[in-house]
Amino acid sequence: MSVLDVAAAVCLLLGALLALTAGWGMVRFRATLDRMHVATKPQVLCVLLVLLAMWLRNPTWAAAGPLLIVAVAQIITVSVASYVVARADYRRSGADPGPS
Amino acid sequence: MTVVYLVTLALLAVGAAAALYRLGKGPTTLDRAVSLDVITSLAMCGAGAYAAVHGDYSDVPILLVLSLLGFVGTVSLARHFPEGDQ
Repeated sequence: MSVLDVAAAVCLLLGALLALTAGWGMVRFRATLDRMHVATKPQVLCVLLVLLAMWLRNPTWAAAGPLLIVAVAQIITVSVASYVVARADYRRSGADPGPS
Repeated sequence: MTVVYLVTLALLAVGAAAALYRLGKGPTTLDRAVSLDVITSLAMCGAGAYAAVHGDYSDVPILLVLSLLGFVGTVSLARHFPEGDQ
């Protein structure tokens, strides 16, 4: 295994650990906003780390293009989706969203 | 690399099981939307891990489709979420 393969393996394992924290937060946290908060960070970072691992296994410009498109799409869509979910929950729970 | 692949898949499976628990239990529809989004992202991670380990990059369009699919599902659920619904 070369250095790039080791880096790709580390990226894969870090991404999987972030996915585990997302699942743990989904079970552990109590309010919808907390769960949305703890779910979005690994959603972005986990996918970005896996994409980085994919690029490290095949570090060419031709492989980087589609991976960059996927990364940008994931960043934009996850942030917009979390914003819409947070707004819907805020409107549901009124002006003072306490712990539910 | 095979050991890394198996450990990655195991961790992703544990995270997906936790999100699935929230999908079944979640008190509101928004919780279910969030957990479905998490499960979609974990499926993306699984497909990406397969591609990275096996060097088979033919499933990159699947990642793009899953990303946009999770976005459309979550946003449509949240947009049509009736106010005052528990």
